[in-house]
Amino acid sequence: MIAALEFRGISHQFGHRFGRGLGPGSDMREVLRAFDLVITPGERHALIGPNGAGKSTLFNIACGALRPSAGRVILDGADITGLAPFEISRRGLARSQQVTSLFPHLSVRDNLRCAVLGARPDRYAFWRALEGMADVRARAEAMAEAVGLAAQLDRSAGELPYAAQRGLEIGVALAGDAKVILLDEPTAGMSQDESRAMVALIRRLTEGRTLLLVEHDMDVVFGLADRVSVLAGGALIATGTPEDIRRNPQVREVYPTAENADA
Amino acid sequence: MMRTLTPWLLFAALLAAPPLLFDGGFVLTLASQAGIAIILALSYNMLFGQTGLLSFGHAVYSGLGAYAAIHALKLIGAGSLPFPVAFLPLVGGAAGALVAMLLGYISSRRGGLTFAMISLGIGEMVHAAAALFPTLFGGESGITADRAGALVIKIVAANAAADATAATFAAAQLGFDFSSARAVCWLIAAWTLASAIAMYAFTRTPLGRLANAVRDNPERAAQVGIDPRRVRWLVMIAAGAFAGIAGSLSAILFEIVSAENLSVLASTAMLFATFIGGSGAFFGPVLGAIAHTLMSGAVAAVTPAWPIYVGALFIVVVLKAPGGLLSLSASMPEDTRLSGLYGQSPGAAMALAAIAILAILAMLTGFIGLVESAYALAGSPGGAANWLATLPGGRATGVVLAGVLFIAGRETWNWLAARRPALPKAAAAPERAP
Repeated sequence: MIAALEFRGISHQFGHRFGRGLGPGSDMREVLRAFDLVITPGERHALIGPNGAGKSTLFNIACGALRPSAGRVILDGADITGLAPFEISRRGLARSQQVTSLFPHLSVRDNLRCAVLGARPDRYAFWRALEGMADVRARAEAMAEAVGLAAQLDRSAGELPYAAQRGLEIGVALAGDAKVILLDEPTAGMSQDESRAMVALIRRLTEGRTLLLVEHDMDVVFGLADRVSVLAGGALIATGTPEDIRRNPQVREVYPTAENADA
Repeated sequence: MMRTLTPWLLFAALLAAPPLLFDGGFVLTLASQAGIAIILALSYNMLFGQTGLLSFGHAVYSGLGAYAAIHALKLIGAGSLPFPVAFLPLVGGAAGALVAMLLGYISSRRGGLTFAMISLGIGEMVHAAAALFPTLFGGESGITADRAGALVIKIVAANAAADATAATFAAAQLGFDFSSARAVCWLIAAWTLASAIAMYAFTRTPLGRLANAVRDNPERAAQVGIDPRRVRWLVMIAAGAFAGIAGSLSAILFEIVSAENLSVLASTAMLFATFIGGSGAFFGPVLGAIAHTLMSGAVAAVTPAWPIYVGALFIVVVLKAPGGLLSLSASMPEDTRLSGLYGQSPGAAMALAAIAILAILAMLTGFIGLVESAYALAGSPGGAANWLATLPGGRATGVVLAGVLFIAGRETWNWLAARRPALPKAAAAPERAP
């Protein structure tokens, strides 16, 4: 079976390179070291690890915002390393941001419409009216309905309350019908109730798709993921089912909260 | 339907009124210039308001479009190009789009400050380069042409019916004759309306909406499959085309194009007009272009100090109404300054409003007095200088009088502002999680 998303030997360093490598005379900081991970189609995979473990860097590499110092990213059998973010998005990989990132002056409807348009070949059309594209509108409104914003379609995204913005963030990520979804801390800053609702929403909307999730909330991780990978100090230290991870002594060492969470 | 149609009917009426009511003279020139300024400001706002691109080089597209048009006009007049003058803006529009396609390929890479700096660099470069090619750009004196040249051909054709070539050239003008200022004003009004409608339609297309998305958040746009660079480039080409149309109309109106048309000064005039009117609403730049034309035309006819007034208006708008004049008229009832009137008895409210208007008038008169006195004291000739000299104590009295008036107006305004009740904030900021 072809992997939905595969990381092959990803290494990444930040900083200025003075000499070669990481020897004396270099202030390079290695954030990822020979990282390998295979995510199979349809699986929900969570990536956990302490702050600074390299999770967000990995996401940025996957979606093309960063180019890895070494290694390859394979999406559905095709090498996407070094492609521009918009090209990777068109190949079926979508992401949401940890810090809410929307089009604040556009309405909820137009935020979603832009995301729908981005995945279409006629996205740059200037010879037809946007209002006339009934399928785009229908898809945007269905997505708004799915994330619970059907009543707020005409409000501008910047005015929405925080939880609604997080919902729209997920909606924008999913509106283009991507096969692989990367969610960066979707429940960050949410209350218990909001967080539970978000988990249910993600579970429902990613049905039949592949999900890679970064999350600190262990309830969310163990409630959502089929498999969990633990990243520490730029390297993968364990991959397995939530049950495996909870029992893994090495994981407990770097990530003490993992054992306290209830499934 | 009615809500979108009403401003357009008003706009069309505004454009048609001058050539309908006047037969020539200052008003028609002013109206023609306003039409050109409206196209320029709307075209500028495709970049600024809609795509978030601050350009200091928009005159490159209008200017080179104007040059293309004036060269074509010369050829038409010389009887070597059978092309209707009425559709000359298509030539300039194509030239503007072509130039934007070439230069935009470089400058569309980045938005923000990078784009602004590159546009400034390109603007200066093109302006300077124009001096190097006097045959194309006409050097100091520019390139001139005669818009009635086609008419001459027509007369030739009438006198010598046998001359088939002249007859063809005359026929190419489709019966239009632009020798009168009125005919040109009609031509500009028609092109202004058509361009404005086209630019409004553009805002309603998928590309128009993606431009807004790229303005708001280019990184996010890229993550959903939109190439921000491609969007900026396409919008630049469209804006360049409309700038070229405006440039062609100015070539027809003034029958001369010089390197001045390419200058950064010409570009900043578009920025001023767009910002003063308001970049957030479609008709904002229209209002700004009219205000700017009135100041650089009508006010300039009264006082040589007009650039000071344009600058002062720009500063006041930036500080007091960053959404532009149009946003000011829309938000008037909720304006916190005027909210001092709420909760008063009708009589007291009227009195306060009258005081407010008087205070504004005093500040305005005082400011104008100070500027004009400064001009007079510097020895510049003008109506104000002569009038001030007749005051007892001479021109110095004028300065003192104007200063007192300005300060009195300002103090009254502050007194009013201090009296206004505290209003609850209109919209609560979205709550943020820690």
